[in-house]
Amino acid sequence: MNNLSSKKPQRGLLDRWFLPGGIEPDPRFTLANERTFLAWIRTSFALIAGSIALKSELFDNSGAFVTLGSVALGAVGVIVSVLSLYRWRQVESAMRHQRPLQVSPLMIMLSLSLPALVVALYVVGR
Amino acid sequence: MIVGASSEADPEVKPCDAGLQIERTSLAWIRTSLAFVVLNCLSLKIYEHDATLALAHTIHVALFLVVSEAWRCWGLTQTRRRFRQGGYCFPIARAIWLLANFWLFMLILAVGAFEKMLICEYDLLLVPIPR
Repeated sequence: MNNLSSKKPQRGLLDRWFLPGGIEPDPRFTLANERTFLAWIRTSFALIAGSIALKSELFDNSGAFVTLGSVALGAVGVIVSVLSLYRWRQVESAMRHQRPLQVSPLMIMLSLSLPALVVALYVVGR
Repeated sequence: MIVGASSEADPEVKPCDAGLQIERTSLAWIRTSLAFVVLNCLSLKIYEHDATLALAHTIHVALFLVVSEAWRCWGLTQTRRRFRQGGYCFPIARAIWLLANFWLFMLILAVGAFEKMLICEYDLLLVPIPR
């Protein structure tokens, strides 16, 4: 073993508070987890952008169903952004304590809510 | 011991980052920052009748960019230490190159936007066009 790997990693106060205990995971896995978190944040941005676009001049924004769709898309975007942080911590904690990864509530929520929203908008807007 | 890292690294062999993980993460951060900027440009449409709100919105975006970039640079130094402890080298030159290009792009964009504002609001040019 080389000298560098024998040093014990120093952890910051925020790290110790947010992710207590466990052992340091491979930094590659931590970075992969960070990228997944960022991808979820971008998904959230896209949902919020869709919500804003629905209320812009691109659509006739006088209808109640457009307002409903805009609010629903924005709400899903906000929920995704909050849950993405929870998911990031869940995965990081599982890696630190060598536990199996759990099913992501984000994927279930998004894959169920978006088709439901599209169907609802189509039915109400017809 | 660091999980997943090689426990029998040969000190004679220089370790390397095979997966370009840091670079990919830097790009992911930049994509996220750009997505945020695009989102805020879109949301400025809402405040087009209210200059104060639009200004507050723009300051918020600028603050976000500065803070997130500072945070990310600090994170890069932390990751560098962890990679070294795990037996990986850190491609700092590529990360600096990436950051320098991103900030040059942002600087050009800011100058362009400022000039456009001067033209639209005050009919003033930074560099007068010769007649």
